[in-house]
Amino acid sequence: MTTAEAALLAPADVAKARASAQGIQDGLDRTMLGQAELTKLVLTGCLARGHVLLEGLPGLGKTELVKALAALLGITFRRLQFTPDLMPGDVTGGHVLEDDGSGKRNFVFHPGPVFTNVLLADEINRASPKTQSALLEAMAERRVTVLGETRPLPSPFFVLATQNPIELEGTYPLPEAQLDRFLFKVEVPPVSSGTLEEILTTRRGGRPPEHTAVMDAGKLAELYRAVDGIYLPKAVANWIARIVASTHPSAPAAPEKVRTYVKHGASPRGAIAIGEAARAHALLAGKPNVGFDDVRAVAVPALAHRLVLDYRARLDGVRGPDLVRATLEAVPETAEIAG
Amino acid sequence: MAVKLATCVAALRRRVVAAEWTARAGGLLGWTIAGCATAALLARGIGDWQRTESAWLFAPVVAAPIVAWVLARRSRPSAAAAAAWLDVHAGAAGYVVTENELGQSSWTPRTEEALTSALAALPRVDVVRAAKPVLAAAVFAAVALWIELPETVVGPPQAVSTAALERVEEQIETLEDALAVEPELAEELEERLEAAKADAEAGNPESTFEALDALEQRIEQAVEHAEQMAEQAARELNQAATDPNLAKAQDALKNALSKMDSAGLSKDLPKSVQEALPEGAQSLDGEQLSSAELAKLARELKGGLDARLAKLANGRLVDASKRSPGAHDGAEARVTPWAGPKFRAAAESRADARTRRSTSRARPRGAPINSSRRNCRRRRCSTLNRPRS
Repeated sequence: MTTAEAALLAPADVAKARASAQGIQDGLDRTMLGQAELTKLVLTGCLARGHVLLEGLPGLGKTELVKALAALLGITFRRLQFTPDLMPGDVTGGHVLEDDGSGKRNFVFHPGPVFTNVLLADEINRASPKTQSALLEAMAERRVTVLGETRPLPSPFFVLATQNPIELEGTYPLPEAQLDRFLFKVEVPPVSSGTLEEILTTRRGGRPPEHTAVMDAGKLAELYRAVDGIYLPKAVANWIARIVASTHPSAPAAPEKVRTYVKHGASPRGAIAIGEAARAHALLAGKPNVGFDDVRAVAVPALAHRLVLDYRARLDGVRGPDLVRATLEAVPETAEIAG
Repeated sequence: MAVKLATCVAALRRRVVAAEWTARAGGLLGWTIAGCATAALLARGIGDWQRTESAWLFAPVVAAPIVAWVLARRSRPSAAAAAAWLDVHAGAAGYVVTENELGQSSWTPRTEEALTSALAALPRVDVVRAAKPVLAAAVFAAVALWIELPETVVGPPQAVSTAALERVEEQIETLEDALAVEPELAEELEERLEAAKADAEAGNPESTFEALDALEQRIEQAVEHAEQMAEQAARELNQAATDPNLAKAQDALKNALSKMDSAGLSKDLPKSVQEALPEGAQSLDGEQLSSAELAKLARELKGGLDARLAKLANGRLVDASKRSPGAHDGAEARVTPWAGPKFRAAAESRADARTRRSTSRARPRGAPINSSRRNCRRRRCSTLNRPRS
């Protein structure tokens, strides 16, 4: 067996993993009509074992998408509606004084909704920063510490959060540290009239189709192993590194837009996020390796929310995705070759 | 047909160097040719270089492609960069870079499939674009080399020095025609004239005029000596013709002959004198001539002397205007019309002639100054027929 054979997945393995992932994708597409790009990104984030923040107007199907994903994966799912009065203990769980039957009372830990495989954090920006912070350790380290006792979360664990870009009164924008924990921030676009017509004609009361699980935790673990087996070439890794470095306004290769509008660029976690997401994207494309096209596909959702923008960006209406696209254009995949 | 990655990478690297070389060589050649053409134009215009000499200024053009090659080699991409380029331009989705890093695998057919389209996208060698500046510069170079340039005048025009040379050459010819010039003096004048000609042809007007001035001074010295001797000889001839004492008259004739001889004035004496005095002054030794014979000889010698001086005057070596035609009437006036300050006046006349150089005749550029001058020595030798002591 050559070095390449050892480092790369066999075509049959890739095909099998892709078929499994395609089953999930098809299921999601059945739920979210006309949103193939969105469902692919959500699945990519899921396969990359990252947390995804969905941002969109109410009624676009964000919650249904997450529910469908959990159903298709056949893993445990909890939904947590974030409100201003939600307490950290409501997320992580807490100790309750219980009688053990012999008259002796003990503090027993009652796990919160975070102890699940898929957590839907609905309208996450409506909770107070204190409650939002309760998710930090869970998202970053996949464990929860309550009263000095650390408990691991079930595997897999990922958070799919939603937030509403309007009705910002009484909301608490997610701090940069929390945003950085999300692999992707995906904007849910409004649907077209054709899609609306299809919804009206095929779904009574807007109810989505019921889903049956297409895999279980074991198959999902295999899928994750396949993602881990995707090869990231050095040339592509080099490009990712240069892209992320160029999001800093002080970087020599930073484009003019970044110099003007960005206050702080993406963290190394951004580069890791692109690498992982690109691996998942490559698997969904049926490839054993990451290509430049995979990076291009995931760079915007992986980096846009990590940029801390200047006030001028808000004044000029420049947004994170615009700046990431400008960076992608400014940083060539390889050394310039004349001709 | 399967396309190997190594083949594609090598082809791309070669093509990049070729494209880079073509682009760089075009620009570099264009600028070098233009620079050399400008230098050639200046050399021809200011330095008065010939076309063939100016053509040597184009030697750096040979180095331009070599320099372009060295620079182009620097832009040769690494194998990794070439693989990345091929991957991007073939839309190979990472197969090419992966195989470049890991080697062949069961995914290689995908790589080769992608590389087929990559070969068509290799950088183009834009010969036309590179040739444009070269062609433009070549046209300029051709114009710079072949165009007829107007003569550049730096310092006095060459025609002036040519005219001065011709004038001095004429003076030497007149001197040699009028007088029997000593071979040493003739040799010296010849050498100085040749040196002045060489300076003129080398385009050194200052050296030319310095040489010509020295030459003219030497001619003036010779003429002045001849004038002084002629004056004294005329006085002696006068005495020989009029002195009743035959011995004294004969001595005077003998002195006159020796003075004429010393100044070269005895050249081409009348036939009667040559027959009467076949050995010059020595013929008078031991033989007393009659007063009639003495008078006749003195008269004929005087005629010969006048003829010599007339030739010098015609050549403007002496002042002809001050040679009175009636000078022959009086003994003193007859023999010394051109003596004394007349020579100074003649010298002034020559100085005036020098100031009129710019109005002198111009010789066509490149033509020999006067080839007849080469025969001067031969002619001079034939005229030096006087006996030597």
